Order: sequence, then structure tokens, then C-alpha cells
Amino acid sequence: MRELIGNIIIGIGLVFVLLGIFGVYRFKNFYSRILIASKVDTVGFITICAGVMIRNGLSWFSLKVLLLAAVVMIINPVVTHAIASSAYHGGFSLPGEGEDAADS
Amino acid sequence: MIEYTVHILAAAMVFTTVKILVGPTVWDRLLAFNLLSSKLIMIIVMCAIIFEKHYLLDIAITYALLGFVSTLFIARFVKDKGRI
Repeated sequence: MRELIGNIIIGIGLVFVLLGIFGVYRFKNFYSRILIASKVDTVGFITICAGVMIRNGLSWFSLKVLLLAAVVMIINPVVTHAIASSAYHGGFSLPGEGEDAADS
Repeated sequence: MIEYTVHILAAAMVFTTVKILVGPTVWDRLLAFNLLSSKLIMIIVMCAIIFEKHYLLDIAITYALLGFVSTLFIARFVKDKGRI
């Protein structure tokens, strides 16, 4: 029973991850892409880690997965902020990017 | 179930690699690399479940921290246009 619930939650996290991949190809503006990719990917990772913890019960394995989820939960927004800040301050210019922002 | 999860994540890694190859700017490639390393950490966790080995999770934590440092410093390097 616990294994079934864990598998279902892992499947939900997998759907989030695939939506993140789809969003990277879908949007035409760079800042929309970085928003959808980082948010959806972080949520998918945390959901998959929660499914793994439910699947394995209370053990050292789950504690290590919890530590991994905490580490990723801190560093993934920091990396996204670093990339967006680098694009904003580093002369981000692409021909046709301004017109595409109104469409998408 | 877990084996199918590994297959689907591998397919997602293929699409992310295509995004790295065709990305218009260097920041798109950096973002796609971040997604790729995240998918790789998920695959390592799934392998830790399949093979029932605890030390694979230590490898996953180490890989997460190393990817964090590398992506952060590449972003800083690109921001200053190659001047360190």
C-alpha cells in the first residue's frame, strides 16, 4: 500500500518534470523560459523525493533523500537567480526578442 | 515502475541535450545544463532504489553541490564577458 502511494507520487513528480521540458521548448521569451524551467523542475524534484521517502518508510535511506531534497531546494533557486542576473547584467540581446515577448 | 521512471527520465535528458545543442544564447545553454544535471541526480536516486545501495545517495549529494558551484561560476564568468 505504501509502495503504491509512493509510486503514484513519483509519477506526479515525473509529470512536473516533463512539463518543465515542454515549457523550455514552448516559450519564445528567455525570461519566460527561465521562470517555467526553474520553478517546475524544483517542484518536480521535491515531489519525486517525497515519493521516494514515502516508498521507503522511516530509515537512513529516507534521511539521506531528505538531505538531498533540502540541498536542492536551496541551491536550485540560487542557480536560477545567478543565470537570470547574468543575462540581465551581461548584455542580453537577441534580434527579434522584443517583439516575441508580446506574443508569447 | 521505477525502471520505467528511469526510461522516461532518460528520454527527458535527450530532449534537454537537444536544447543545449540548439539554444540561441549561452544563457539558454546554461539553463538547459542546469536541467540536465537535475535529471541526472533524479536518475542516480532511482538507481539507488533499484540496486538498494546507500552510497549512491552520497554521490548524488556531491554531484548536486559540484553542479551548483560549476554553474554559478560559469554564470559569473559569462556576465563579465570573459574577464576574470
